[in-house]
Parts: sequence; C-alpha cells; structure tokens
Amino acid sequence: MVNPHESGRTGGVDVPPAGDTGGVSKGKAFLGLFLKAQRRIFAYIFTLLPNRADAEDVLQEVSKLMWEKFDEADPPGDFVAWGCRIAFYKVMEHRRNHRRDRVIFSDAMLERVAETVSEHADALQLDERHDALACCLGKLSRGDRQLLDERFKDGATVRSVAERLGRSADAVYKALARVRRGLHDCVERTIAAGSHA
Amino acid sequence: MTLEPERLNELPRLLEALCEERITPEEAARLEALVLADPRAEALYITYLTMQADLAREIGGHHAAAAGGGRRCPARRAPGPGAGPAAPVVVLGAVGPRGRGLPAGGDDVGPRGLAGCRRRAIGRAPLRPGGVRAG
Repeated sequence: MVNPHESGRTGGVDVPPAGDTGGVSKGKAFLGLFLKAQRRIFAYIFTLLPNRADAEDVLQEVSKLMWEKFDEADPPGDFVAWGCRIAFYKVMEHRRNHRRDRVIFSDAMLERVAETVSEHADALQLDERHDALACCLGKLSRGDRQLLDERFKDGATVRSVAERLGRSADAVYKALARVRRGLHDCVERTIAAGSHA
Repeated sequence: MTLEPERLNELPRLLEALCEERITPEEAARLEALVLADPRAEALYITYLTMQADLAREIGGHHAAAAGGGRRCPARRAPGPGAGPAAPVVVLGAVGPRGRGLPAGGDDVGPRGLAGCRRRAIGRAPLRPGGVRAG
C-alpha cells in the first residue's frame, strides 16, 4: 500500500508528499481515487498521444495538476472524467511543445477521439475489455507471452527484442502483430460471450 | 458515414505500425482519414490503442502482478487468442452531431469543471482487427 505521506511511485506517477500542500486525509483520499483511475486516464492519454514515453510524461503532469486541485472536502463526482478532462488539455499542450517531431494526427482527429472516449466509454466497454485482456493474456503460449514481456520492458524496441531473442526484427514485428491481433480478437469474443456482463 | 468493408481492411496494418511507432506520415494520414470517416474504424482505433496502453502499463512493469494471473477470469469458457472468428461486439453506431467532445470552459479543469467523460449507450457495430465487417 502506498503511503500517502511519502512522495512515491503510484504506478509510475509521482504524487507529491501530502504534507506539502495538504493533510493526511487529502493524501489518502487522493491516492485511493487516483490508483483506481490512473489506468483509464493513461489509456485515454495514449489514444490521443500514441507514444508510450510521451503518454507517461503527460500522465505525470496530469497527476500533479490533479493533486494540486484536488479538494478532499469536495471531491469530483467522477474522478476519471475529471482526470480525462485535465489530460485532454495536457495532451494539447504537449503537442504544441513537440509539434515538430511528434505530432502525427490533426487536432480534429484528437478532438473526435477524445469526444468518443469520453462520451461512449461504456458503450465501448473499455473496463470490460481490460478485464477480458487479463484473461486472454493468461491464455497465451509461453513463447508469445515472453515476446510481449520483452517488448514492453522499459526502453525495449523491436530491434532490441530481436537481438535478445535471436530473431530478425521483421520476424519480431510480425510476431507482435499476430499476438496483438489475437489478443484483440480474444477480447472481442470474451466480451461478445457476455462473460463480463 | 460508413466505408465499404474492404476499405477498412488496411486498418490492422496501420494500427500495428502506430503501436510500434513506425508509422509513416502517409500512413498516419491514411489512418486518420479512415477514423474520421467511419465509426467502426474509430471504435477499432480506440479499442486497439486502449489495449496497447493496458499492455504497456501492466506488462511494462507498473502493474505486472495484475496481468494474466491476478484477476478472476470469466466463469463461462471464453476462447483464447487465435481461436475462431470474433462475434460482432462494439459499439459505435449512430453518433449524434459532433462538436467538441469537451465542453467549453477553457482551462477550467477543477473538479467542478468536468463533464469530459460522461457516458451514454449507443448502437452496436461489428468490430475486429483481422477484417472489419460492415455493420
């Protein structure tokens, strides 16, 4: 359990010490809500900013701003929604600051996707998909799971994975695509089966 | 507006290129055009990218314990990755007139300034990355 009194990693996000700007209750209240919400907020950021390192950076900024504005006496009714709203502005700010090298989609695209994720999260069954994904991961072969484990290590690239596994980069790329599509199909079938209703 | 099913067949390749951060500007433009033109493409974009985000967070070290074995799986048997065809599932049917998803209000990001992630149910449309079908 994370101690809200300490500056600590909460799933990759540094939350300032509660004593800096608030009390114990604020720290506990915020962390309890944030730890539950951060996956959804990160996914929201990633759909708008599909670069893992950039999305992590933005999540960090979002968490800090959420902490600063959080009032435990009057908490937001929908913590995830509040975080998504802050994240949208932080993503746009990030795009403005990195326009030359990273921007690949238009503002219109981002606004469309942000609106859809915001308004249709239930219809998209994003939470149910997350649960289904965990189960589908458990059904992967050992080799496919190893491939994903290698790929998602911090700093790993397709090339570094290929070198580590003694395969060509192209073979790794194709294998990752196969695994990811298989996982997505598995999630679709799981959802369709109504297993998470 | 919806596109002919065959026009969506290139989506999986474009999404994979995006996930591996090797998408070209031309491919990104193509992906954006598809997403903006067809709700099915948009739904697939969102669910695919959300899955990639979940994989990055959970396998990538932040929540490794939660991936795979730590969560209760459905009681009903669900086929694993690579088993038979996916059934129609999602979810983006007729969406009303589009404006900005987030309400006006500038930089009001305080807890009372939110309306960003409100939800409502909408229709269903088929969705799968290995060959998107018409709704």
